[in-house]
Order: sequence, then C-alpha cells, then structure tokens
Amino acid sequence: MRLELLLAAPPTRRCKALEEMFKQFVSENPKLKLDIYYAGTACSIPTTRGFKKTINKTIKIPMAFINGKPIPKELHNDIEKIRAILSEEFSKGESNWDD
Amino acid sequence: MSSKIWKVARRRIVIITNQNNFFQARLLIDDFRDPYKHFAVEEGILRQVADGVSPATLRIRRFYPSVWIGVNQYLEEDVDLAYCQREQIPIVRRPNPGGAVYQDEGSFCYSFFFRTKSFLQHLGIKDTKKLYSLFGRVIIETIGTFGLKADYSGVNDVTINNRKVYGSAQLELNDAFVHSGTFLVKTNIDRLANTLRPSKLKFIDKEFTNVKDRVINFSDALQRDISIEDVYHVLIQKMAEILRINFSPPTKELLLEEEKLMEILYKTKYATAEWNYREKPKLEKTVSMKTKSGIITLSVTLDSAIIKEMVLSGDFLFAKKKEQDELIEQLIGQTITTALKKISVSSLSEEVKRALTILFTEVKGDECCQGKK
Repeated sequence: MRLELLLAAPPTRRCKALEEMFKQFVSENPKLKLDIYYAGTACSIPTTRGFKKTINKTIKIPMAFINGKPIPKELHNDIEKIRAILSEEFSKGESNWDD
Repeated sequence: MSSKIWKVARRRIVIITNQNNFFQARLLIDDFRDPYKHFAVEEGILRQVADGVSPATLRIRRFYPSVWIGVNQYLEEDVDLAYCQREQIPIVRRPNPGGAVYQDEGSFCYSFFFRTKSFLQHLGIKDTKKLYSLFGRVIIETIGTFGLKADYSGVNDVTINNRKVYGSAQLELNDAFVHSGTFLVKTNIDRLANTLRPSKLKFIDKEFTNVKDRVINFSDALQRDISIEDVYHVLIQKMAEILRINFSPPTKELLLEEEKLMEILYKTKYATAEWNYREKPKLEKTVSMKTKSGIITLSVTLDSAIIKEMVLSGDFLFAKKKEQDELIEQLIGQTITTALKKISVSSLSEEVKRALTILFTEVKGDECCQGKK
C-alpha cells in the first residue's frame, strides 16, 4: 500500500518530522511503500489518483497521503491517529489500494 | 522604489489605527524586481511567518519582464522558449500552482502572508478556498472605485468584459499561508501573448481563441493611462476595509531573518536550473481532450505498436476507481486497434468511451505517421 508525502524543498522541520514518522511505518511493514515528492522538483513517479485529485489550485505543504487519502493537517503530529488510519486502509485489502 | 514615489506612497496610504477587531499586518513594498530574488523573498517570508518570526504581511511588488510558470508546469509545454531566449526574458518556477504568467513593470503583484488559523478566525471562515472570493471582492471593488464593473471568473480570476485582468494562487506551508494575486495595469500584451503557449484546450469552450483575446490591461479598459501606484493604493485601502486589516506604515526593509533566508533560497533554489528547468517524465505520447467532466489526458508508451505503459490523468475522474484499474489492466499489452475494440464493448459511460476512443485514435494516427517516415 502506498504512502506519499509532499514536502517543501528544502524540507522544513515539520516536513522532516513527518518524513521520519512515515519511514518508521514503512520499516514496520514491508507491504508499505513510501514515495516522497518535493514541491516543484522533478518527479517521475506516478502518484496515486487520490493525490492527483487533491492537488489543485492550492498547494498545502506538507501533505501526507495514506492509500491516496489525504491526512488532515491537524493529525500530522499525532502518530497514534495516523497509525489508526493506516491500519484501517491496510485492512481494506490489496484490491482497494490506490496505486 | 525612488524616494519621491516612496513619499507619495506614504502620503496616499490610509492607515487605519485604533480600531478593534482589525487584523494587524505589516505593509511591505520592497523593490526586488529580479524574479528569482522575488520568489526567494516570498518563500523566506512564508517560512518565517510559519515559524512565528515574521508578522502577517502584505507585500506589494513589481518586476522586470519575466515569465513565471506554475509549480507543476513544464516549460516546453507552456512557454515559447525560443521567444524568451531571443528576448532575454528570464523564466522562473513559482512555488505555487496555476498557469504560466508574463510579468513586466506594467503589472503588479501582491501577496498576503498570515498564520492560517488566526486569519481564518478573524474572517470567520473555515476553508481557505473562500479566500479566493474574498480577495476577488477586494479586486472587484478596487476596479469599481475607478468606475468599471468587474466579475469573478472561475475560481481565481477577475475579468472585465470577460477578459482577465487579475489572477490569483495560494500556497500553505505548515501553519502559514500566502494568497497572491497579479493585476495587469499596462503590461505589454503583445509580449505576454508571445511568451505564453497555453494548451488550446483552455480556450475550447470560450469565445476567444488566444491569450491576447483572453486578457486585458486595466488602463485599456479604463481608456486612459493610470499609474500602477494609483491602483495598488486603492487596492490596499479596499483590502483594509473589506478584510478589516490594520496595516503598519509601509516599509521596504525585510527582517534580518527574512533576508538571510532569502539569500539561501535564492542561491540554492530559485536561481538554479534544477528548480526552473525540470524535465518531463518520458512517456512516448501524451494527448488531451476536454469533456463535460473536465480535461482527460492519456499518456502511453508504445513498444512495437503494443501499449507498454499507460497513465490517465487530468481533471477527469472515473466514477469508480475499479473501472479505471480494470481498464488499464486490460489495455496494457494490447495494440491500439484491440484497445479501441475493448473500450467500445466495455461498461464505461458513453462519455468516457468517446473520449478514450478519440485519444487512442489520435495516438494511433501519430504512430502511423511516424511509421511512414
């Protein structure tokens, strides 16, 4: 299942904290894949549909996506709530993963 | 800014003081006309506002002729590079989204930087998207002060007689937000039209067919010459009134922290080719069309006439995610002729079928032409 981060270039302290948190999730579960995009820099990785849909006239940085679903900014510091979202999305099964 | 203009600016700007319920903001009218430095200043301020170092700030500025592309755009698609090189017009990538724009000393821009939560609370709104219409109202009333009627257009533009005079974009970084707008007062429209190369799809359902017919200078709409300063002074006053902002007396000096950050961002980001000239990911063929549901873009890589890779993107979205996955799975490994047959008998909506048929036929046509060569 895909996790995605859109970070500032160069990353801010909050971007780095979010990156560390998501790297930790990936290290705990080999079925998770983390893609990091830096706003404005070249990226050849196809993003999830959910990511594409969310990026519109306003760019919010940092942005975090689990299975193509944006994680509200208010939760960015809350590892337990993010972990709960992660478990919920993961439990939907591979056929429902946004890749 | 020359000292003469500066004195005039200080005299003309009405500073509202001692009023309750007014949002406090710094008024910064600097003179960074180099576009690369300009964006370094923008990001420097935004980061410092996010870190609680800089106050909420309205920044007004003007530029040497330059082209700014949106953060997600590709130079070769949106800008006439040969023309820009010939005319020595620098091109810079903005940190915010939207289309490519041409700037010169006949236009001006503003950016309003603030801590997201406190400003939204002040305005009594929850969604930052509402800022487009609130700032749009500031522009419409500014134009109204000069006796002309203007309207909102789309999400982020303002038009006079259906021609764009103002556009805006937004960027949020951590707890800070910047809403930016560009106002055409007496820009060189011929140059603007020569530098930009927007997708023809943009105009397909409009009454005009090119950039020149789409935009208008405020001075042309007024049918008289007007100074840029006159326009932005009214804009500042309208912003103060409508958004209830108490601006400090204008300054042109950055804070020391902003200046330091600006220098770093200028050298390591905005003045670099890596930032400004990024390459588009290689997919052999990309075609787009406009449907009722939005623009759909098909990118395919063909290997000996077989679809090797395929990506669907754009405003357009399938109602069901599974449909798109299944379709892509079915089409990869097929020839375009087979793909067209599969699309025609699929359970997709007629609109989707029609769009994909047109796009694949276009790809096929190009492939045939290449074969003949």
